[in-house]
Amino acid sequence: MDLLLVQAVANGLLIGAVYGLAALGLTLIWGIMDVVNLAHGEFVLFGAYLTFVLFSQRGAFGGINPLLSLLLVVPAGLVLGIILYRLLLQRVVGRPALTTLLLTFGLSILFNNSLLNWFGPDVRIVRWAQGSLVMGGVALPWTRLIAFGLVVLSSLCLFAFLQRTYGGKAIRAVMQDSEAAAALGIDTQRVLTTAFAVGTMLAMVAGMLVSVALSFSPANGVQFSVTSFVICVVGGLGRPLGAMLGGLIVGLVESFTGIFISQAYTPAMVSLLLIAFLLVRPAGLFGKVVR
Amino acid sequence: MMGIRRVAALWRRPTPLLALAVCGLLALVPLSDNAEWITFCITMMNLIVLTYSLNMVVGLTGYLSFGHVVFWGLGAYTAGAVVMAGGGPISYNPYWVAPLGGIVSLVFAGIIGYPTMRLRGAYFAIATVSINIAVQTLFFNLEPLGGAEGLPLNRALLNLADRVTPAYYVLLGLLFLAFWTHYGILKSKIGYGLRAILNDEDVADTMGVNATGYKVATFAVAAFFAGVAGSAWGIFQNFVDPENFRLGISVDLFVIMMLGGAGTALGPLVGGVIYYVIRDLLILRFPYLHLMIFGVVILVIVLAFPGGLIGTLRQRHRGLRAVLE
Repeated sequence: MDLLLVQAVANGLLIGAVYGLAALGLTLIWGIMDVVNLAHGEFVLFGAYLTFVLFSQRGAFGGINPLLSLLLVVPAGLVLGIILYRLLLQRVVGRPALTTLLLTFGLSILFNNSLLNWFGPDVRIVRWAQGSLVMGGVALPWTRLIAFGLVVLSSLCLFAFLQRTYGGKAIRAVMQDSEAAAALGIDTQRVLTTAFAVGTMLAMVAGMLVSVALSFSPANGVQFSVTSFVICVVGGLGRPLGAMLGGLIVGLVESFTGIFISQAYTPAMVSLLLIAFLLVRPAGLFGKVVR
Repeated sequence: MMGIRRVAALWRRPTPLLALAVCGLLALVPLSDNAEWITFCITMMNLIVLTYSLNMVVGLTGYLSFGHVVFWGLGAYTAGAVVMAGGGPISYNPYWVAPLGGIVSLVFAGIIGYPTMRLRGAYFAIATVSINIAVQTLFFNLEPLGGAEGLPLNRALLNLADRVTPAYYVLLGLLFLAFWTHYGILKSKIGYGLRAILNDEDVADTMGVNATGYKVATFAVAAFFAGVAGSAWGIFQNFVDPENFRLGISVDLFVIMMLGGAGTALGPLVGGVIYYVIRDLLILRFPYLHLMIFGVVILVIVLAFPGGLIGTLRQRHRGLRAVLE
């Protein structure tokens, strides 16, 4: 029983970290431009499928190590984010939630069904670094350990970016008060583009980790979006640290439900967690209560 | 004299007449005895009723109900549970159960609407998705009602012909009732209240509009229509399963609503007919691409024609503003 408990905690933390990284991207975009990107789950899937294609294809460029594929996933995420922001999102920033949600909803349908057409509905996984590290009877899959390490590394990079660089400081300034930031000479459009690109990139990196540590299919798109959203609500909107902590909480809830109740009820439990938070503490753990 | 004046007023504001004409045409379809057309129209009317239900919430209050299918599924399962309670063939026409499905959905909407409609924007949208997922998970695991395998309504023992005609007229009646309710809301004091909420909820609240009451009431009435449609659909299919809660159905509803024009009384009707004609053409030409194309359609409508067909026509032509609502 005790061992099972430790296993549940370990599973929850390892998976929760990956969710947290995905949610980090969403919370960044949401916090800065007040746009809830309903296509976020599809960005996660883009990262997963890109890794999968690079890994499973044959020939000279086949069998690429998922860690190396990061070299392609990161720039691809940034470029995709920039293109989408300049092409579409820019036109709706500041408009009512109805408009922005419907736009990203349309994007989500387009992307999800493109993936469905391209790759089919099959559940995929990148079979790499199989096996587990067994410590005192608790099994820790290598892939999830590596994923956990990469999450720590990428979130440290993000925090360094947000705290130390001009671009990161500008993002935080615009997040706090975009008019004041603009008055001080910060190019708001450029900052929003950067934030959207970084958010998209984080989602795709999370997708790369999902592809080795979990399984995925186009049907998971909505699930990734909803999970990321729940994490943002739990952690507090626009709070990077809250997103990481929220990810761990959601991971633990999923893992405990799966081990002690039934795997079949995990989607319902995550939904209940969201509803509970919305009712009791809508500002989240780290959010400030406004109004 | 009053009667004549009322009829004259109808001619000046011919929106109900247009809807009546479309419903009249639809009423003639079963006379053709063409099974293909009849099934086509049943599917179409089911989705149009659902779109009216969605339109009352999204179009009138501005609250994005992404998990709206939950009310349809609950209606279907209500019909399934009632028909399958007890043993042996049932002695009544199962379609009498349909209003009960609506009432279950109405009550459920009232219960979840009261806390969730205090949420704004994306919070409400994702809360409805979550509720939909939670309810679907529940029915996936609810073995007495068939669990994941679904529940055949084999106590109803109706042959196909006996199921089709009543389903057709139940849905047609429901369609007109949904239009009439939407039109009625638009013309009533509640309609003005809802428009105020849509424009600025805080201001509406301060000006004495009972925002929460209006929103929840609209939500519940909308859910009623989805519930009755779900019941009728379940009985028509003679089968209910957790697919009745599939989130993807919302895609169709949103496309129809936005094609026609969110918030307009004729929108779902016009949008539904256009959608079905386009979809039939698209599925034949591009069997696997139609959903991708619908994604693009949503993007184009949001960016270029946010009012949909009816909304854009109203905006561009002053004369049509009184005619199309």
